[in-house]
Amino acid sequence: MKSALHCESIRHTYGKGDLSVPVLLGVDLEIHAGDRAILTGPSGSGKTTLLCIAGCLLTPSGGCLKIAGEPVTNPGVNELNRLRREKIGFVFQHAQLLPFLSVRENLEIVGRNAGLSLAECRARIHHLLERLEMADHAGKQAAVLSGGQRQRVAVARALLNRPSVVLADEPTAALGWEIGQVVVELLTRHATEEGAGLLVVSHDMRLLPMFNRKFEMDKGTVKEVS
Amino acid sequence: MTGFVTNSKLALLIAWRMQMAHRGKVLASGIGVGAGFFLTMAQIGMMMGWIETTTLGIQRAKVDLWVMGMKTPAFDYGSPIPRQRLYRARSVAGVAEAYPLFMAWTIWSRSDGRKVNIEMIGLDKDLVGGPPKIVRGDLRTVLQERTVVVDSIYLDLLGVKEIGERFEILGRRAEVGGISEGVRTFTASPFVFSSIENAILYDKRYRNDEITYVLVRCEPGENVDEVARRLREQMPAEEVLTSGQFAARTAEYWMIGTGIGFTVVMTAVLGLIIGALVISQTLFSLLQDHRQHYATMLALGFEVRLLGKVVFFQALLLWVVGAVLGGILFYLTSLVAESSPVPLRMTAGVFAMLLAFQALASLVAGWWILRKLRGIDPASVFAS
Repeated sequence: MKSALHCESIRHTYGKGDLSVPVLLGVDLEIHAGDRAILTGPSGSGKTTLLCIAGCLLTPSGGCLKIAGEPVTNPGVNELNRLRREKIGFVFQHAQLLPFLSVRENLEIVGRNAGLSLAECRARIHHLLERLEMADHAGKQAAVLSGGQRQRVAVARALLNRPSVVLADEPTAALGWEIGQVVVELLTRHATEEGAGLLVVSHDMRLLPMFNRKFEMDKGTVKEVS
Repeated sequence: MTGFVTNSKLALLIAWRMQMAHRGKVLASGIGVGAGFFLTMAQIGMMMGWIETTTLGIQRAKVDLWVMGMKTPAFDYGSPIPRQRLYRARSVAGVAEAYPLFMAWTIWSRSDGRKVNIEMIGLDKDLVGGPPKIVRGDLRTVLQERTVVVDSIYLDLLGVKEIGERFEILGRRAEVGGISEGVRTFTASPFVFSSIENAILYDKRYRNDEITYVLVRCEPGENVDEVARRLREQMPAEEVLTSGQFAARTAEYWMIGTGIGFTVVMTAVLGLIIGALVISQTLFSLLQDHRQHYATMLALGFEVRLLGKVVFFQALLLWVVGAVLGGILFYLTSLVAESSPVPLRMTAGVFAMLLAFQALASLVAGWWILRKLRGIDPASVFAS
């Protein structure tokens, strides 16, 4: 199967000298295209750090990272930006839409920034909003949407550029259980249909049955659990 | 990677919508920038008005050359030269006409007893160097004995209401024979026109055979500099300047010699700085308000260069608001100032230059904010 995210012996330490704090002690993780993976673990175990590294937002202290088979070794800022634009989709805890833009504009700036033509971008936005049952809200300001609606738009934004891997950080934390469940169901279904590998970080154990691969993080290492 | 045009369109959309989400703040900032821009324009406009005023006496004579006492610092401070210089100038090859002009400071006594310093201009029968427009009476009345022409702007200061009213100049009777328009003075001492003979009568420091300037018109097609050289040869004790040189010297005396120009330019620069500070504060405030959104865009792969354009577009939008408000305010003020002793002047070129300076100041403010933008960590989006 095609690799979406490959982490090999990823290590990371914050600070230097006596003040250094090792957070990741050699993480091995492989997510394939079509995988629905969830990563759980106690607070402070290094989940967010791993997500930042996998999302090319943080350079690891050591180890090998590949996104869609492309090694990320000593990349420049522009290269990291390109990877994030073209290969990675993000869903944040609070959706992080730009509230002063409409739903359509929130998606359009991301698609256009990734190099999609206007026509292509609009067609893709229409398609995704239809599937996420948000087409009627396309012209609304993001600021007036409910929490669940915002996360649906965030899902559309994450999938817009047909990324190889979608990284989601506690996508249900700011939502009630029922709405959260719907959002994760949409996220897992559409990420799979789009052929992306999905890695969701969550504390919510009720979500586990919705994923086909489960990882647990503890004391800086990751292990897959059945 | 997107093209420059797409990139700019995205930046403009984000900048515009972000600012429109803070209309009150943007309007308040626009007013601040506009006030700064108005301050700059008003100072420069005032200086241009002053330069025009200080050199008006030279420009309105419409002659090519001026003969004057050596080292005359400005039109208002001419020194006596013998009237004989007038005849000598007329004998120089290339001179079509030469006219005498008298200028002296003296004291006008109002009917209520208040005394006002005036600049007395004495004209000869050709009336060269006189006011360009008479609104009441006749300029030729200055050739009558003890008759003067005053300007409408200074009627209140001189205590004049009607033609025919009588006043005193250094204890001698003077009757108002006409009222001119548009003859301002920079010194706050109004110009009062009369004949050379009357003017000398009013200022006993001058002898009857003395004048202040010889105004020279060259023959058509004659090289003015060459005629000036010939005049200097004939009158080595006097100075000969073209009208442009004399106007520049007069303007330089008032603007640089007195330090007024420095003060005005400093205040104008202060206006630019105020505008830039208001813009930078507004941009900084917007950046703080949207810090998380900038972090999100960085995380989503937006380049700092594109987000920098967002900041620069915001700076330029504030500049436009400020320039429009400041421009309107300046225009209205200049209309009011037109009938005052301190007119505001502006040319398209200077206006464009001030706009460019203000735009540059706005871009500098944007550049400072750009440095703050670079400090935003995109990973912070996961922590919120």
